[in-house]
Amino acid sequence: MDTEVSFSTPNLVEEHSDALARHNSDGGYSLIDYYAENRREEPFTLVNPPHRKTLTRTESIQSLKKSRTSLERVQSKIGESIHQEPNRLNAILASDRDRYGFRKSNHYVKIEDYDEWWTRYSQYLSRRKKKWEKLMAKNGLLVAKKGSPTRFPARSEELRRYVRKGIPAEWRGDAWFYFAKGYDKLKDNKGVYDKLVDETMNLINENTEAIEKDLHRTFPENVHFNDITRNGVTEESPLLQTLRRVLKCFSKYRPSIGYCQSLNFIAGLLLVFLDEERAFWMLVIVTERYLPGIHEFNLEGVNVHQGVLMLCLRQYLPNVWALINESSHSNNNSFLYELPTLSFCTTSWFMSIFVGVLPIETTLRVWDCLFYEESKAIFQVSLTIFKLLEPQMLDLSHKRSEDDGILSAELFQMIQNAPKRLLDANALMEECFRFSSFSKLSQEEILNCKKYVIESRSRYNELIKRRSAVGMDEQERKELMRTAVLLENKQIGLKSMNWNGRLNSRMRRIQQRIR
Amino acid sequence: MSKQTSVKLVLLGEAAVGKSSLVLRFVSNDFQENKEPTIGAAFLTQRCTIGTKTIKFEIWDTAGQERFANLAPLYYRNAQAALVVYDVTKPASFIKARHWVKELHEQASKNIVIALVGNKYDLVVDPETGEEIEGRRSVSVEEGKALADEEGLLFFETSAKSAFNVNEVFTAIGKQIPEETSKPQDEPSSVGRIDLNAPVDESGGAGNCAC
Ligand SMILES: Nc1nc2c(ncn2[C@@H]2O[C@H](COP(=O)(O)OP(=O)(O)OP(=O)(O)O)[C@@H](O)[C@H]2O)c(=O)[nH]1
Ligand SMILES: [Mg+2]
Repeated sequence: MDTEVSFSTPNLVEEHSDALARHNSDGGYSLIDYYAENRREEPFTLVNPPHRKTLTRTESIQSLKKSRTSLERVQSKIGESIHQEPNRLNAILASDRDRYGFRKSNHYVKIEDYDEWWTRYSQYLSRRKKKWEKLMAKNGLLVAKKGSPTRFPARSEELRRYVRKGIPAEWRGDAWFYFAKGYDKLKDNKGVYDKLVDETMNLINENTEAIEKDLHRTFPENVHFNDITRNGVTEESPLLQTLRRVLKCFSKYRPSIGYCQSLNFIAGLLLVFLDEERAFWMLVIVTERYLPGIHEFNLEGVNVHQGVLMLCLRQYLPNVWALINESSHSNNNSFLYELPTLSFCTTSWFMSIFVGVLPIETTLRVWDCLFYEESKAIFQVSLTIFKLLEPQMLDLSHKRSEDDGILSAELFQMIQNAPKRLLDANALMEECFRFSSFSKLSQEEILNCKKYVIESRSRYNELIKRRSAVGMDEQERKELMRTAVLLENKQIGLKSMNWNGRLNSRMRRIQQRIR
Repeated sequence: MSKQTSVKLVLLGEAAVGKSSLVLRFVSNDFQENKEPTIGAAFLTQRCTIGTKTIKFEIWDTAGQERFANLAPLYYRNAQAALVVYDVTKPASFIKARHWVKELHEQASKNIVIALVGNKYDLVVDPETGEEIEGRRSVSVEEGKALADEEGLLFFETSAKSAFNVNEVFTAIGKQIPEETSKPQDEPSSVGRIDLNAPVDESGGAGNCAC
């Protein structure tokens, strides 16, 4: 029989239950007050934020121990607020923060709109939670009242449907970790993380400097990521100290990636739902299994994924594709090498997995699907966003400027800004997995596309290398590529082409034309 | 009716020098103490009236980390103007700026207008007196000027935080753009139109900038 252990109810919660009771009894959502109350119990010894000071090894270990305890506190605090009973969800209405500590409103979402949506969504959440509890019970998995399961039912159509409708927030971290096979990773790497923490404690290099630049720029609109200043003394947010350690350890563990901007957002959001060590391994899993190559030093993985997205758009949303495609030859694949201008807007969809692109609750729903269904979910969600925007895009299409074939500014703005207003996660997910032509898109299809794009792009890069040998300029290179792509589409493989013979004479003709 | 032209402008420079903050100041007259790093690129527009000319800036704000440089050629293709930004307190960012200028001259369109911008000027002056505090800056005005003269660039020191010189940069670029290279637009009705895709409570974005 499976008995469930919970991670989110460590002793620390008990220790602070007094403060919690106080903050719950006044009915308001007051994570911030609770935070302040907890902090008051700690003596202030640090005048400077820890990262400004070079610590000796003993000092470092002490400060590490100290901040790990504070981290557990932060986590139990976030956990506690996520764990609030359904009627407590109303407390969010009275606050300017959501249940994770993010500001509810921003440039794109008005607080009234958030509250209106939340009123409905919070009821949906408690209905789903009950269904999940039944599902768990049916599978012999008991979950303690305020606990979180560390095991989930075996994969099935039913479970997939449940995941698509959203994992309860209080179980989210555990579910992600379980579906992503995090426990295997953890088992194979006992003690590795602690060792990394030790090794990177006083590490200073290019990566750690880049990490420092981004630390305070990670979720500044979330209260847990803000430093605390009282009586003129500023203490660094414990969550940021943790984020620093996770990112530093990662940069050491994966030198081919090091630190890449956007990892701060992924690791930061993971830390809201997982403890430090599991968040670290999850970050490893995300970069090696779900988004391979995306954060590597040359960012070629970004181009490859964008290429796959473009292939998907051409296949499933031909009207959108007609607007985006800038290639003059309608049926060649040159867009795989020279990505359409629009791909600037979608870079962050892959790199930050929609963090900052979609509202936070919507992002979390996408992450639920991603960790259960593999990377195809990212493509399906991207396609859904375009599908939802299609009518507006077509409206704007007449604005496409004729002189250079570049999409109009309005179109870019829409593609960049409209997703930030997609609060209604249910509508997005239903469109994605129930009503769309790409709801059945398989991971295998995505992998095949990826292979194709990788091969096409490496052939192209090979040509560029030779180009520098022959001394062509940019203009000539482009001409050559277009020619090569046209030839390729006529089933004349580039491999069988003789560079010195046929292609050279073709180049001469092109050069004459240019002149 | 004034003549409207649109100008594609790209911002380049090391991470955290304040590219996004300069744009935020120019477009929304706002400043954020901790601004999130830009992933890939962000796109914004702002209209400006300079004399009888109305210019619509189409601004591409790019990511600063070194590895994103691989995507940069996509951003500056067809750009008519560029802001190469460094942080006056960070010498490494000035070296990076030098590289960007070189790359633009080699790769971007021939008549691109480039402005060299030393940002975070507020960090080197006393807020009370406005006088420079000794030892605060790492890149001298002379160094900046010398690079600008050498390479034929506009040069400004700015502060996105205090708004010092920010509009001036864009105005100067607007003045420098030759009429024939900017794309003429025959949609006079769009001037001053409310942009439905602009952020909801952003007052500056949809209107005209008072350059
Ligand atoms: N004191 C001061 N701080 C500034 C100024 N401009 C920007 N900053 C701060 O510097 C940090 C980085 O600013 P950003 O505008 O995000 O820098 P960026 O160049 O866009 O950075 P990336 O997107 O990572 O390339 C933020 O925390 C800003 O608040 C300035 O003029 N003065
Ligand atoms: Mg930026």
